[in-house]
Amino acid sequence: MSDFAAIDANRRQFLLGGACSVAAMAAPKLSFAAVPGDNRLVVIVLRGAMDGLDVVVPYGDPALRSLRPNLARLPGKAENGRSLHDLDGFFGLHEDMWPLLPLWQAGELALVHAVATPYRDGRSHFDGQDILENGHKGANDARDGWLNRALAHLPGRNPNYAMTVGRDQMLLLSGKEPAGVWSPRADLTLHEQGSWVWEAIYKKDPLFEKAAREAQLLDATTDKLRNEMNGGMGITGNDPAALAGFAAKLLNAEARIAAFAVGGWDTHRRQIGAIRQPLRQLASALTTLKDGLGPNWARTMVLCLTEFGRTARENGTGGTDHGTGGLLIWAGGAMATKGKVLGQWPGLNALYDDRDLLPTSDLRAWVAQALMAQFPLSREVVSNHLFPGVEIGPRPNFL
Amino acid sequence: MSPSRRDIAAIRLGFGLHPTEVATADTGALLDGLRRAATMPVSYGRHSLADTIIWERERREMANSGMIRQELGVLPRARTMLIEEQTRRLLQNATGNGFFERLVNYWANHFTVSVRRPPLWLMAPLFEVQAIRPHVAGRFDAMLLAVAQHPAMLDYLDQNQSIGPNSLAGRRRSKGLNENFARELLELHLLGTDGGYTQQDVTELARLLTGFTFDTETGQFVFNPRFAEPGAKRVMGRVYTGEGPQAALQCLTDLSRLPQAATHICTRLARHFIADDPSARSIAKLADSFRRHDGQLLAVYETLLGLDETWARFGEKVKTPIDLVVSLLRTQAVPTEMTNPQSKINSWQVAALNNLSQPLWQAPGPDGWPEEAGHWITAQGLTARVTLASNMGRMLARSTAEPLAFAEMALGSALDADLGFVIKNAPERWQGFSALIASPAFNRR
Repeated sequence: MSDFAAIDANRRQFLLGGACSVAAMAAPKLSFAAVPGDNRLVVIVLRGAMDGLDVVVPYGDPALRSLRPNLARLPGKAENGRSLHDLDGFFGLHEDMWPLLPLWQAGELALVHAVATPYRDGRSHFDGQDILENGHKGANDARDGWLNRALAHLPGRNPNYAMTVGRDQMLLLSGKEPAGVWSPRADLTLHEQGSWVWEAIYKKDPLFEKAAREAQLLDATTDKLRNEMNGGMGITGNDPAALAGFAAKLLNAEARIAAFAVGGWDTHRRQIGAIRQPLRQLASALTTLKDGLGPNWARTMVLCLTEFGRTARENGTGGTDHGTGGLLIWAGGAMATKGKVLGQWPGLNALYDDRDLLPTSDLRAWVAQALMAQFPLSREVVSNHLFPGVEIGPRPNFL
Repeated sequence: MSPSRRDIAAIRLGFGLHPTEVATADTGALLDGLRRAATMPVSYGRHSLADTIIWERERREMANSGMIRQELGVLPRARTMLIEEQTRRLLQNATGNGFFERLVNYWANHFTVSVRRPPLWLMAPLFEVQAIRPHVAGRFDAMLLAVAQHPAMLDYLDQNQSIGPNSLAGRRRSKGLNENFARELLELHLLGTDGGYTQQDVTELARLLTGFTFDTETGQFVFNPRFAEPGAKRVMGRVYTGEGPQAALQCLTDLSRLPQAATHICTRLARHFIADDPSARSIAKLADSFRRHDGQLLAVYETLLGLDETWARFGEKVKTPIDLVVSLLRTQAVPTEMTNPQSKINSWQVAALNNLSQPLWQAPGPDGWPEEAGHWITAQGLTARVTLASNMGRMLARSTAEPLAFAEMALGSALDADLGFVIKNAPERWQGFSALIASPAFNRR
C-alpha cells in the first residue's frame, strides 16, 4: 500500500483502470472513461449516535469505573452478563462485535477513538447527521452530501456507480451528481406495467418524470440481480445484513460506491440490552460484505460513521445521553493495521463540557484518507470541496 | 381550466374529493366545520390505557418466566389489534371532516409518538384521541400540556423513568436524569434548533420535568414527588420553583409564548399546508396571528385561509402515503365503521402504507415524517405508488365504473385535458383507473 501512495496521481488513475489495454494508453482519457476503477468504498451511517465507549471500551482508563459503574467491565471477567475481549492492553471489544476479531487479527480493521465532526454543543441527531453527511461545519452549510460531491471528481462512472441501498436516498449521496437508490425488495417495476400510459402521465412533471426514469433505468440492470437474490440466496429483507449482501452484489457488478444506514443506536435507556441488536446487525453487515465481495474485499474499504458519541457518564436510566467524541470503525481488505486502537486518547478525566469524550481529531480527516487511498482524489479537492476546513495530515502507515 | 377554490379546499386542506360530500372554500364554513368536528365522537382508540398496561405486564411476565411461546403468542394478538386500530383511524380520516382530520394527522406528527413494542403499540391511537384531537380547534398550549402529561409521550421519550439526582428516589438509588423529552420539546416541538436555547436549558428543563410519570396499573398520568428534583430551575432566563407539576407546566406554557416558538410552529405549519418552501411573508403573518391570539389555533387557521399562497400554490405539495391512501378511501365513499371487524383482518390500506414506507404510528424518529417532495417521490417511492395504483386499478375495473367519470369525481376541476385524454384512451380499462391514481395530479395537493 505504501508503494501505491508514492505513485503520482496520473499513473494511479491508469492503474485503477485495470483492464486498459496497451492500445488504450494512446488515448487514455477516452478508454478510461468507459472503465471504472477496481477499488470499492462502502459507507455505513450509524444513525442515533453510537456509544463508542461501550463498543471499544477504554478499560485501562482509571476514570471509567466511576463514570460508568454498570457499563464498565474488564477483559476476562464477565459483568452484567457481558464480557470484553482485550484488543491492545488498554481497550477491549464489546462481545457482540467479536465476529470481527478475525479482521482485527488480519490487520483489516481500524478502530479510531475520540473523533468527531466539527459539530459542537447542539447534540441534535438531525443536525448532527446532516453535518456528518454534508461534510461541512454546519447543518445549513450545504444541502448535498460529501460523497455526492466526490463523484464529480471520479472518472469512469457508469449510471450505477454509486448506490444507496435501502428505501430512501441519503443526504450523503444527494446532490448534483446522479446516484441510485434501491432496496432488495423492490416490487413490480414500471417497465413491467408496459404501455405509453405511464410515460404520458409523467411527461410534464419533472420530479415524477425523473423518478420514473430512474426506476426504469435501475430495473434494466438490477433485474438480473434481484431475480438471482430472490430466487437463489433468498435475501429479501431490509435488515442490515440483507442490505450489505445486496450492496456486495452491486459492488461486484457495476457499482463502486455503496452506502446504507443502520439504526437503533440511541441508547438512552437500559443500554446493556439496547445496544446488542444494532451491534450484532453491524457485525453481521460487515461479515456479509466481506463474504459477499470475495476477491474484491482486498480492494474495498468500509467506513462506519455516526453523528456523535455519547456521554461519558451513565444517565439515570441505565443508558447514556448525546455526547461529542466517538468511535470510527473502518474495515477493509485494502488496509494493514497493526493491532492497536488508533486516534489520540484524551483520557476520561479530561471531558468535553464536563460530560462527553473529548474529540482529539476531526472524523473528516480520517474519511479523507480513506477517500484519497481508494480514489484519484487530490488533497486540494478533498479539503476544498468535500470537507471544507479540514486539516489532512500525512497518510497513515496502515494504508 | 384552473381549479376552483372549492376543489382546492377539499384536496389541499382536506383529504380529497368525495362522491357525495359537497366541498366549500368559505372561511366561515371551514372554521365552523372544525368547531363541529371537534365535538364528534370517533371510532378508534378503543383499548383503554389500563388494558394496554395489563397486556404489557402479561407479556413481560411470560418473557421473564421463560414462557417464550406464550409470550410470542401475545404478539399476533397485539399485531391484530394494532392493524384494527390503524384501519379504524384511516376510516375516521376518510369519513370525518377533511380539514379537521388533516389537522389531526398534522398535529399528531408535530408531536410524534412512535410505537416501539407491543402491546404498548396501542397507546398511540389513545394519544391522538386524548391529547391531540380535543385541542386541534383549541389552543396550542392546551395541546402541549396534554401531550406532556400523556403516558404515550412520557414512555416514548423516556420521561417516565427520569429521576432527579437529588430527589428522594435519586438519592437512594443510583438512577438519574434522562434528557430525551426535554431536548425534543425544545428542539422539535417548540423552538427549533436555532431557537436560542442552550444545553443548560435542556438540562434544566429535564430537571423541571422529573416527577412526570404514569401509574403502571391504570396507565394514567401521575406526578411522583419522589422522582422530582428539588430546587429552583432556570429555563430560557426564567426561574421556576415549587412542588408538584405546576412549575413544569407553567414553563411549557411560557416557552410556547416565546416569539420564536410562534415562528417555529408556524414555519412547520406553513411547510405542510402551503409548500416545502413557503414565503417568509406567509410565515410571518401566521406567526403574528399565533402571537396575537396566544396560540388560539382557529385564529391561525383563519389567517392561513386568508393567505394568497394557500390557494395560489395548489399542487406544489406532494401527498404523503397517508394522504394518498386516505384520498383513495374517500373516492370509494367507505363507511365509517369496518363492516366485519371480527373477521380476519385484511386491511389493504394498512398494508399499502407499509409498502409505501409510511407505516401508521411508526415514524422513524421524534421528528416525525418528512414533508419534502423529494423524500417521497423517488424511484423506489414512485414504484410503490404505481404498484398500488395498478392493484387498485384492477380492482376498480371489476365494477361498472367508468375511468373518466371516476377521474372527474376524484379531481374535479383539477383534472386537466391531457390527463383526461390519457385516461379516456388507455388501452385497457384498468389502466385508465391506474393512470388516475398514479398521476401527478392525484399525488399532489
